[in-house]
Amino acid sequence: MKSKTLYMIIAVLVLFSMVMTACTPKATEAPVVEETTEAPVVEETAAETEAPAGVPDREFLWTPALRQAVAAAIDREVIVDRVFEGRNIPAYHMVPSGYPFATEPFLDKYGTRDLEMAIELVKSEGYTEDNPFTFDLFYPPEHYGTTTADVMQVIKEQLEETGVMKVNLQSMNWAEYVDAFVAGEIPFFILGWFPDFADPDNWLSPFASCIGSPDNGVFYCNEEMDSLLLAAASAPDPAEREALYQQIGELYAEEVPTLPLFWEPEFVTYRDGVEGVTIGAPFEFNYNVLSFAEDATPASGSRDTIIIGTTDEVNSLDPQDAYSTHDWEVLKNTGMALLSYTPGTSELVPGAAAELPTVSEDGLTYTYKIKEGLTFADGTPVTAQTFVDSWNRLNTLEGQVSGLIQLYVDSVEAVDDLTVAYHLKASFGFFPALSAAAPFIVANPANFAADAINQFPDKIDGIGAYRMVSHEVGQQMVLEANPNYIGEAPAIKNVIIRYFADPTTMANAIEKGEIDVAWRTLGPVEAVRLSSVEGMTTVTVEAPALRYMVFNHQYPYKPAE
Amino acid sequence: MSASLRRFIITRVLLTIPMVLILVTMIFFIMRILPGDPIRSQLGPRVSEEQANALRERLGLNRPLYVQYFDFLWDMVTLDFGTALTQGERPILDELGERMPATIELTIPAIAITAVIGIFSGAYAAKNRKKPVDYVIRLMSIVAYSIPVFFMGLIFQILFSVRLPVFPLAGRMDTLMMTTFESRTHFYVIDAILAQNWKALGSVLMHLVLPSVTLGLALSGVFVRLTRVNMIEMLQSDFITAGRARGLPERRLAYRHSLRNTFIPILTLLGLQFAILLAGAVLTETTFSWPGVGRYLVERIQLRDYTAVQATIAVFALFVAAVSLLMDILYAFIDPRIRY
Repeated sequence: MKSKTLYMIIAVLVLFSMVMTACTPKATEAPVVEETTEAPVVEETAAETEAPAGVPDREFLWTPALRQAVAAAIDREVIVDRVFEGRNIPAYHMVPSGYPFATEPFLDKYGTRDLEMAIELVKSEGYTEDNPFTFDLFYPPEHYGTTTADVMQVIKEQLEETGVMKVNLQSMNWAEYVDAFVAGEIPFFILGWFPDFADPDNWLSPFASCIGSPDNGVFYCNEEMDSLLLAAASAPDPAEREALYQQIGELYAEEVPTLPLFWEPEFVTYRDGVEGVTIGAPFEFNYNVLSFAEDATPASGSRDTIIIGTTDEVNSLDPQDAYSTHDWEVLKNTGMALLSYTPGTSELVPGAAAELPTVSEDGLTYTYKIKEGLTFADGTPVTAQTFVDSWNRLNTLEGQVSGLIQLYVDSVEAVDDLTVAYHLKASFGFFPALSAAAPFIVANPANFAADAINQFPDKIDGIGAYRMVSHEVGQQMVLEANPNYIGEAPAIKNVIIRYFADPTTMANAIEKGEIDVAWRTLGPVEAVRLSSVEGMTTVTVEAPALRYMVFNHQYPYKPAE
Repeated sequence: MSASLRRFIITRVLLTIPMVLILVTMIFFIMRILPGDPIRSQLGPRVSEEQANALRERLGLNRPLYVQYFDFLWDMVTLDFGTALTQGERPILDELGERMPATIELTIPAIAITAVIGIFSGAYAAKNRKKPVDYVIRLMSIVAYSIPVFFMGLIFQILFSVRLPVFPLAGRMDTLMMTTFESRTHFYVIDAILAQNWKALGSVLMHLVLPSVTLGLALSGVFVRLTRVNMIEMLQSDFITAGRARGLPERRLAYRHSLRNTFIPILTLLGLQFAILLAGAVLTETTFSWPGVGRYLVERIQLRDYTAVQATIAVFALFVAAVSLLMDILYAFIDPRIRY
């Protein structure tokens, strides 16, 4: 018995020390991310490049000609037809077509596809049919839905049709994938993007600016592009911005920092009798404009309560921390940013502000008049100081979303009780659009302490049309009309958000009449099925989610020995 | 309780300590060997390295591994599981306190259904061995455990909820009712009874039907076969033959004398299945949007939420140890020959 115990202890100790040695360096050291000007450190991985005799040596894997070749060889319409049965929309620019100054530079430069151009470009780098340009293409098999693998397969086929390119498909689970692309370890991969605010800058700077691009694994830095992006972002005159974005579009298609693929639609299904489901380009779903028609049969059995289903999860409900689509939706229904959008459109209208802001002559200060008589749902008055306090929370608590705002805002000042001034780091013309984002929703000190992030508050007594009265994580959230709301009282007094674990169950629930609205993420399979079910309407939401291919511009070129 | 039984229980409880320790140690290191980290998988690509580092520091993930390990062990000893690393960084005890009751509330009726269906049809098949009914039951049992549980759940949902609106589709309680329902223990059945809210109790029980029948049916196949085989063996044993010779009725021989003696293997499997079910009900929980601990564990493994996974596994280990201890004690009551 004694010796048995001893063996056991020894075994545990050996196991312990083995595991300890195996994982110590990885877990104790933060991953090294290189400065944008230096090449990321990359370990040797599978087949990457082969050096044909005629290929000159170079520092990085991707040259402008090779990126252009990929852009020319990909046929988005075929991808959309084959994988999505035509439901997705080909993307010929990073900026969605519903946005101001949107163009289609990739269509202008490459057409829908130019196979000959692609072959010529690859050959210009010294590759031939016998010595094709070979590289790895990575994708996460689940994160963007099960269609991703099919998309990758079509892309591989299209690139290999040139005869001078060879693609190795590699899949990686999401957590690993994010680590890998942020550390610059993978050469070519797919990502998705939702807008933070409705301005072209949010569709360009994160990928093509020297500061923003490493976060998305692009590692692209080009002085001309940077100065154009800054000029376009800070130009106050719309005509000037339009000209600059036109120029940026052309440069983008020439340089191909990233390659836009397609817009993936979201679907929403609502039962007959539900009115007012309008979700526009800024991806806003305003519950306060929903109503039941005379002949409606609400799922709750009461005309005062609507039930909205989702498969999303709550990550954070702190306005100065939250950074995901569903969280912003809840925040915008329980709160109000300085500006809002007319439901279903990207037209900016005053929210908590009484009117659109005034801009100082140098474009560096935006001044907002706060609505008079604005109070939180619990009756606490809201003044200009409340906005300053919320900015201080954002700035000091360093929540997930803080970087997005700190990038542009320098300081905030209460000019008087009802006037708040935002001093910017440069004259960013899109600041009004940014000020419609969730971080500009004031936090009620009763729910959110000044010195700590509170991701799961019990209640939210904000300034929005609704207030959150309860939240059972993973089950449901209850919103109730805010009695102190400064705008028109919502037609439906209570909103219950019901959380589902999978889209099929959610689709069955709306078919059965347990919910009134089935929203994110219904997915194409269920959406198509529900569109043929009687008693409900399925619509494609005019809110773009972009899927795009990323070239890692500093992925080293490693000719085979 | 005899002195020897007491000694047995104490030894078993003490043995639980190294068992849990080894398990959580393995989980601690395996989670960290897995590629990916909770910061990046949580914050996604939009967050700068500075912010990621700040969060890493706040969560204590930048400390040396051995410091993290011993801190974790100490927290375990003091039964302080700390806070989750993702999804709101809530205290783990709160999170498990909400999820665990949901799973247990689903598991108990499921196990009961499994036992009733499995044992009775198994015994019936054994008694009617090689008759048509035996073949039918055996066939059904194979079907029951070959159908993937989520598929069976989906079929039940479509049949008995969407097409024939008898049972609710998913969730633990009527949506509107839940808005006013106050949950103290998070066992909704108990909460409803405590509040004497009979309407809520009805709703909770109705919501339990489809998921627990799905889970119970899926598991019953194994029990049918186990009971049948053991009972056939028992029916051929000497004491049954002796009983038959004395003219005891066949029904009494089968259900009273044989069945009772087949309970030991059945109970063992039942105990094991109960433990497996705690984590293994993931698919049922997903299909029925049941906010249980199985789904929680899968989500947190994907997010690399080290502390949440560690704590959940530790609680599982304790639970499994408790159930197997309980089973061992029960043996003594069922079989007088077993003494500790």
